[in-house]
Amino acid sequence: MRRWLTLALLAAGPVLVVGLFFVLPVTGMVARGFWSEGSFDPRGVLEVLMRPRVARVAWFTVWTAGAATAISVLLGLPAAFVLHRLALPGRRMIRAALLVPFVLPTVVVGVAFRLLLGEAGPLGFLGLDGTPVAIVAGLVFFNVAVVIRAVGAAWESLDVRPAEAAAALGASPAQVWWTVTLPALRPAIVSAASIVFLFCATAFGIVLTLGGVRYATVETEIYLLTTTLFDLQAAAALSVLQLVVVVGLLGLAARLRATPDATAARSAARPRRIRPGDVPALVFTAVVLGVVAAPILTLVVGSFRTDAGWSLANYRALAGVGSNDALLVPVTEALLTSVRTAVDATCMALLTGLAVAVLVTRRSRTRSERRVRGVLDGFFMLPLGVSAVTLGFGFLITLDRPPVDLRDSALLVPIAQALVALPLVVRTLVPVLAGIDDRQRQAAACLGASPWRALLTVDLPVVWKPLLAASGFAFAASLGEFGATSFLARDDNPTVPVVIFRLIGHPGELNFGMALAASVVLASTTAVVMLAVERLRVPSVGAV
Amino acid sequence: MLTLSDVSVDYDGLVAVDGVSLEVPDGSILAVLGPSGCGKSSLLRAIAGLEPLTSGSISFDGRAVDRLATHKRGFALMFQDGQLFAHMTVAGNVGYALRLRRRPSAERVAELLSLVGLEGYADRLPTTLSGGERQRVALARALAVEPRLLLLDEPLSALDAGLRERLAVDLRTILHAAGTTGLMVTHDHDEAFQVADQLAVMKGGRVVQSGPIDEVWSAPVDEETALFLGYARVLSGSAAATVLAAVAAGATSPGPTSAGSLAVRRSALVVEDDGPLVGTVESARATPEVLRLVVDVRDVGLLDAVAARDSHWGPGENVRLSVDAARIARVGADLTRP
Repeated sequence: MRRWLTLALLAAGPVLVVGLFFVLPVTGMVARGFWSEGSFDPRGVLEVLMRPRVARVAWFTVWTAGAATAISVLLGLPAAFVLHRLALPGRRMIRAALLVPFVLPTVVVGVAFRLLLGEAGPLGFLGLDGTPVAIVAGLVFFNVAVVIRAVGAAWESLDVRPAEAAAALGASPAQVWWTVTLPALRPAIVSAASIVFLFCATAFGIVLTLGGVRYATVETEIYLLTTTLFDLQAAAALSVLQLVVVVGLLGLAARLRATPDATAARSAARPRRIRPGDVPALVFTAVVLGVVAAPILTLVVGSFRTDAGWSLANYRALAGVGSNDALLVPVTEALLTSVRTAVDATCMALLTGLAVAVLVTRRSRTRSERRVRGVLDGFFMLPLGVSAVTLGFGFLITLDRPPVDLRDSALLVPIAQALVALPLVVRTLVPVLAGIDDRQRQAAACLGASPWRALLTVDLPVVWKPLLAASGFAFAASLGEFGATSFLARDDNPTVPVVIFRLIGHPGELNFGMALAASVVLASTTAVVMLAVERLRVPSVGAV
Repeated sequence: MLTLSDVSVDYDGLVAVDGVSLEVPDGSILAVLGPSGCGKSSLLRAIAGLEPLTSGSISFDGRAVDRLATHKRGFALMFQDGQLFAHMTVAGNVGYALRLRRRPSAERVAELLSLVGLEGYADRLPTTLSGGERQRVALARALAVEPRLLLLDEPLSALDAGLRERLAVDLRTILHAAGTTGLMVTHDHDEAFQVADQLAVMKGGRVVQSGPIDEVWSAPVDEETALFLGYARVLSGSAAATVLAAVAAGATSPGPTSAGSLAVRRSALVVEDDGPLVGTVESARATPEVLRLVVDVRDVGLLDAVAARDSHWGPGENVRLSVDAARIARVGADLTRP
């Protein structure tokens, strides 16, 4: 009885949060699609989905995501090998640096690519600005780090002895790769690829900044339909489509991940010396580093340039509102808003995420208890299945009237960002908490420790680092969050990503320069946070 | 005194402990012996408060404890693998319960460490210790606040053979020196004999036999229990009668010679020139202490026997055997105790 009471108390908070700020908006959004003028009308949804533009948008989403995933995996594999298996000097630093793109605000990356590929940019001669190629390149930039990290971690802990055994039996290096190493890595590769595809298919900021109105994915189309065309029913229909596809993909990814990865022999191998045969892999790695570094460098350099040559004018202008009054508030104020919002969102995500993680990792005594925990586990993973845009849209149309009226509340944006960051927090904490032997807590209890004291003795020493890492992650994600925020932030109280997007949409040399400077400030803030997290060496971070 | 009355534990309707009643007097050590899966660990966890009871009650010194949470029972549980806190030093682990009670004491920690023979280990981390050292630390940690009952979950089974024997003797000495009431579960009868003075044999969730260790030892309740207590073979009918008669020919008889089963240890038959039994050696194997034989005894069948280490019996040779009355036990017969 007491067990159930504890369970219910622990579950109440997170269930309320997810129910109110996830289930309510999403069901409201679905209802908006299927009910028109008070009556159930699924034809409206069907009619929207039959539009030729919708088919084009859906196909564009699928092929860009597919291409970006394939390229990310192809580029990521050699780099994963070089950075996790070879004794390359400075590899730890390179690995840390490669984590930065993953948390870079999407809008910032969009700006960087436009600068790089634009007419005046270093790669302007390629004429790629505003083409699908640019979008795919942007997606690869984001996701190659995910592949390197996920596959690299698996590769690092891969037992080398089977490969040595194959070589001793007469297999050439190529044969060893195809017959031993690749099959052992396949679960990690497939799992990384499925996650990357999911990220690519739901990418928002990068597509919006690089594709504009001409090239739209489902995500950006929802945004355009809502904010420019005010066709809420069509937006709702697309959100439903998105929801179904993403949940399906997630289920698929979970199944693929469930392949017997854990049973493979694991032993961290010492990195080996570089041989002449490693040169192709090293070259590929250099290409990856180039792909990642070029946009960032261009961005930084661009932010220090004006018509008059090198100057800090763009940074100084951040204290103002831009030319032609592009903004309602100075960028510096937006930066303050961003940090304040991110702190709030991080606290919320951390508290909820910690409760969820504790809840789902506690040992169940009976079958019914296990079933309840399993259902809760699935329930709390739901926000992962919804893109930020869908969430923002759902907030917009449901939380503006009772039972929850947050239209003018300063908490609306932090809550949305907290929900976006929640899966990150849960996924960082769950493996750690699940790894604690429950008998440690029992041992503490037998020595006279109360449940709270046992938590402090056993869980806290193990979990504080991942907790810190999770807060860093949540903070960075929240700082750069654009999808949901773009719907919810008010014009007179915007966050930095929203400001950047507005600046690049306004003509004027100074506005673009300010966008670059603001991007550099935002990027360095998230990069510093992420590098600090990386120093904590929490293995699960990044292996999202 | 720990009193269990009619204690049952189940997992999702699967009965693990089925109506167990036991008593452990103050200062004595009870070993619960049973094969794996017999419910002995569930029983231990139930006493510690880690599993809820489905029925029955547990009381200590006449006061019911089964409504108390684990940390309020004043019992200590020592896990099979120690479960030391990896981030604390040895002294930190041992002094943990003292700190919980807000009376940290370096002297007490030092005293406990010397009790378990680990002086000078205070600042080591658990990961740097050997398995035996870790169990000693776990023992010291469990004894720190003088628990009114110490529960031991196969405390020695994770250790290798030589170490196990030494630590078993130490364990008994330490527990008796501290005057601790103990309850230990184990599947190893040697361990039980070395540490405990009361024995309860569990099978299928039930206690099939309990009592002072010598009593249980000399009168196993059934054939299965006898084999589990380390008897090599159980004889019945005329074979049992023949062996019993051979004992009667000697000085001390184990009891009335009515028909029944007889449990025989591997060393119950000894090669002696004037022994009453006759047999043919089937196989012989030298061990450090004795020569172990398998003998086809006339009117009985195959039995184990021992001979002096420096004798040289080989297959096919005829031997005469006498029976060591202390190494046989009547099974199930004289269990009509009040």
